[in-house]
Amino acid sequence: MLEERKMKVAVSLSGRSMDGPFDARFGRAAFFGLTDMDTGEQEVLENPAVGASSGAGVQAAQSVVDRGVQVVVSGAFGPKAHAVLASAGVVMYVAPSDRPLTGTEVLKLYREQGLERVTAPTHAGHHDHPARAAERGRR
Amino acid sequence: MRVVVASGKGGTGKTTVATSLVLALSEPTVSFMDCDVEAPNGHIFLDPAFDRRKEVGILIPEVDMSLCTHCGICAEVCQYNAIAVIGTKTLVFPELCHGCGSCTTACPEQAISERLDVMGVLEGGDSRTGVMFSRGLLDVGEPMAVPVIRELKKWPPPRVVVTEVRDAPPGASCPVVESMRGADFVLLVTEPTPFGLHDLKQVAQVVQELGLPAGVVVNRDGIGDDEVDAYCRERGLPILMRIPYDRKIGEGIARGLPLVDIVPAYWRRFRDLSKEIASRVAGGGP
Repeated sequence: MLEERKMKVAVSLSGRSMDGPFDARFGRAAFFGLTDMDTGEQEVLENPAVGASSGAGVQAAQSVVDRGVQVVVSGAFGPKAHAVLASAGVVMYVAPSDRPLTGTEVLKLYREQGLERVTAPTHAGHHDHPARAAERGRR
Repeated sequence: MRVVVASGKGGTGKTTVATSLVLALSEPTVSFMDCDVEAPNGHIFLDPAFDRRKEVGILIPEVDMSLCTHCGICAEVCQYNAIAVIGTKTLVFPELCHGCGSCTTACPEQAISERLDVMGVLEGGDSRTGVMFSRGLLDVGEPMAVPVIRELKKWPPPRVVVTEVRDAPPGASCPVVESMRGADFVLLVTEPTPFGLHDLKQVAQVVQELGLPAGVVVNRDGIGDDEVDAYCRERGLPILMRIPYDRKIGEGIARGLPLVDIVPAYWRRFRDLSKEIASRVAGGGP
C-alpha cells in the first residue's frame, strides 16, 4: 500500500503548538502534533478524549490511527491505548518526562533515535482490578 | 410506598434506622432491600433465610467478525470508548462497557450480539420476622455498583409489596442516585457534626434534583453542634426523629442487635415515623 510509505509521527502536547510543552500523558494530552516525516508538513490535532469520562486512551488512540499516524511519542501508554495502537501497527516511543521539553525538541530526539521504544503497556489501567482483568480474560 | 434511607456520610446509622423501620412494621407485605451492594449489612439485624439467588451484571457486546465490515459506527456511538475499530480489527474493552446496548442497536450488519457479564449476585429470602429481604452483592474488584442495584430493584418480589424500605449506600454518587430513583420518600440519616452536615448537604441536593420529598433523622443527637438543625430549618427539611447519643445503643448495635430490641420504646417511635412518612407521601408536598 502506498500510504505505508508516508511516515507520520504524533507527539502528545499540552498546547496547540509543537513549540509548546510536550505532554507526558497520552490519553489526556490536549493535542497531538502530527509531522509528516517525508514532506515536513505539520498539523495539530485536538484530542477528542481529553475530557472523556472513561476510555480516554482508547479514544485518543483511535483518533491518531484514523489520521494515519504510524509512530506515537508520549510519556506513557496504558494497556488499552497500547492494545489499540499495537493492533494498528503503530510504533510507540516514550520521551523523558523528568525535564520540560517542547514538542519540537521531542521530535528532534525521535529523529536522532534518542527515544526508548515501548513494546508493552507502561502502566496498569485506570479502570480494572488486576484479578478482575484476569477473570475477564478467561471468559 | 417506597422509602429510601440515605445519609451521605457513612456510619451515621442508615442501616440502624432502615432495619428498625422494617422491624416495627413487620408484615409479610413489607420488603427490605439492601442497596449497599459493596458492603451490605442489613442481614446482620434482620437475619434472613436466603432461598433465592440470581447472578446479575450487564450485557456486553460480542462482535461476529464474519459479519463485521469495520465501519466504525459502534465505536462512534459508544459514550464510554469501549470499542475501537482499527483497520480490519474491532476491539472491545469490556471493562469500559456500561451495557447500554447502543452499539448492538446501531450496528448496520447486526454483527453484534450481547452476553451477560456477571458482576454480582442478588439474594433473597424472608427475614426472621417474616418480611421480604433482598440484597445485592457486588463481586470484589468490580468497579460499577449501579447495574447490580438496578437489577435488585427489578427483581420480582415473592409477594405483593405494600411498603419497601431501601437501605442506600453511603455517598452521593451514581449508586445513591440509582437507589433513590423511583422512590416516594427519602429519609436522610445524619449526625450533628461538621462531617455529617457536609455530606447531608450533598445528598440533600441529589434528593432535590430528583424532586423527592425528604425528612431527616438526627442520630447521636447531643454530640457536635447545632448546625444540622440550622441547615434543616433553612432548607425546610423536617426533622422526623432524633436518636440520642447513648452508649447502650452503640454496644447493642455492635452485638448485632436492632435498635428496636435495644430500646423497646423505639417500636412505637418507628411505627409513628412510618405513619408520618406515609402522610407526607400522600400529601404530595415536601
